[in-house]
Amino acid sequence: MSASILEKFRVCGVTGLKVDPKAETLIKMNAVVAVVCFLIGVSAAIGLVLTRWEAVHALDAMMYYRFLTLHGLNMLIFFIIFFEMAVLYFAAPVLINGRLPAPFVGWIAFALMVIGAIMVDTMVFQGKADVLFTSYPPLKADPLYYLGIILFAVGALTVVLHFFGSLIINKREGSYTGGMPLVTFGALTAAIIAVITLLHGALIYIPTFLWSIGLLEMDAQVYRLIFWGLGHSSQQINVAAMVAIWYFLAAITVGGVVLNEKISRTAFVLYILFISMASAHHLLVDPGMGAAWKVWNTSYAMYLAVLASMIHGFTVPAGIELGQRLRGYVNGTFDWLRRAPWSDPGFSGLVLSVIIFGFFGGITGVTIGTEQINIIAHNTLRIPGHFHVTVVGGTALAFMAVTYYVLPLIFQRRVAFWGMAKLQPYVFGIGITIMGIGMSFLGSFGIPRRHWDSTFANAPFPVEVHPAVNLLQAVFGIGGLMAAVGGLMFVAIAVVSVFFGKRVTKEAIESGASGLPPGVLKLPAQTHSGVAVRKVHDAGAPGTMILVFIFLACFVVYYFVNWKVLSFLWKIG
Amino acid sequence: MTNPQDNQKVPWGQQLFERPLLLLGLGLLVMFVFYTIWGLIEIFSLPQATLP
Repeated sequence: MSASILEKFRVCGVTGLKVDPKAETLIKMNAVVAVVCFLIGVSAAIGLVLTRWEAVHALDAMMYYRFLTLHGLNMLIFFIIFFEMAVLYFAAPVLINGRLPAPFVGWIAFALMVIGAIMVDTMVFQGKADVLFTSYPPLKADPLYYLGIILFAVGALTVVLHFFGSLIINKREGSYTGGMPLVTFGALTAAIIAVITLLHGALIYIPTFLWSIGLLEMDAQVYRLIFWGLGHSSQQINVAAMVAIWYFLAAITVGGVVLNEKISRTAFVLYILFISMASAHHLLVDPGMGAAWKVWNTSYAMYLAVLASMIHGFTVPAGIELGQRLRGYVNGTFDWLRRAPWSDPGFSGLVLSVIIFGFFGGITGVTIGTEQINIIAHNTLRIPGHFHVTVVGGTALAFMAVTYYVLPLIFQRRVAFWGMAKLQPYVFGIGITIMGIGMSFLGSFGIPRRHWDSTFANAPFPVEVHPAVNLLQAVFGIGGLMAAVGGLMFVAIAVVSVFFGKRVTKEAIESGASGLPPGVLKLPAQTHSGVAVRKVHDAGAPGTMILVFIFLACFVVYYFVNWKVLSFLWKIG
Repeated sequence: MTNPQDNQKVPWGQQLFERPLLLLGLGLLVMFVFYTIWGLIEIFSLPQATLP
């Protein structure tokens, strides 16, 4: 890399990373738009919660489905993917001390994504695309809706290809020596899954666009197959990006140790190879697909990706434990956990994200993804109950947690409303967990997903709803509103910090000013080798081992209970 | 922040898997063969339903 380019880099006073200002600007822009999309999604979510809570039932049917479409697209696609683009620009070139090879390509991609998102949201707001996130044919939206999604996908694909170019060029120019950092490898995993996802998006949305203007026939079963290659895989990009952020946050908040590079990297490779197959879960009750295809894609091969998640679910907390022990918290089994920086929103968000994703999202996902058990869960509220604890409680919370470090390190602003920021991950995480549990139990009582009227009041035949449903809907509603409050707290903190926040200065860091997370005030030692590291490795991670066995016990009980419930469907004898 | 593998010899297995295009090819291959193409074969080999 030429000296003239290097001169323009900013050296981060906290991490020592050399930051290409062009990459930094793109990180900021993508992150800001992500927060705007999140705000739209949260606003729609409030309407949805207050409608599916039958005691309130606020929106009429048309507005409900419009809000549901808006919520799904802005949360599952726009917010998440804009944020992931920011993550990619951070993972390479920033984390590898490199340069952004073609900034103008980044801007073109960004423009395409913004234009696409605006087109989609405009169509939805105008009532020309009340087709939900899935837009299953024969539901037909305005052609501009499909065109907007195609533009967004092309923009995102361009960013991903730019990321690959950045990795290859910076490696060639010697920006980093030795291996690629683990966080960057996690981002590479997310980028590869993004290509798989976006290719499926192109394969289905281009024909659907042509169908919407009357140039092509559309087969509903083919649509469902290819759409879910996009719809579900897009959530697997989240998983990989989230895990990469977990490793980053563990390092920056408590000096977390990577337990074993080989194991963690192998787990990421398992994601690349097998996680996208989970798309088949959505087709488990489709008559067009055979049993062998269903079982292979949702069980045998997919379990290798589940294995990968369980590996990360162990190595991240174990890395935190070892990091804490290196910091001197060596007494007993859980001293490291008790004395962790719980008032650091970066740390609390990380831990809550791991717990909510693993305990609630992971266990429910594997269970209801089993072909046989799926028959008692499919198209019920158990499904959104599951993905709200994975995507929202897991991914979105991890993104929020890392934002508390992105604000001072990239935007160079102190976090506004610091007292509120300390509480925000708890409000959001606990709220979404209560909501997810409520949805899951509602689904167990047969309450369908997506549907405006859970009571089926106008159905030609009477539908009996268990009395417990009313109580569970209140649980769901209260949890949902609490999560929405947590989400709005996050938006307020992010917006005020970015546009009105005080600048991070050397003096502010030295004086321990408010609005700076502990990892920024004093970066924990990043110790990777030496006697002390060998010692903590040899001592193992007893606290994490206990937590892992609690997790496995919960998994076994939940899995067994579901098989037991399934057995009630076909009573024998 | 430091990379634990700075200036270290990278194991051959890791060198193999640090090739973005190789991983991309493998990822695409597995997904398209087992999910997409197999799925399309399943759908297009369905017999035509006989309507009453």
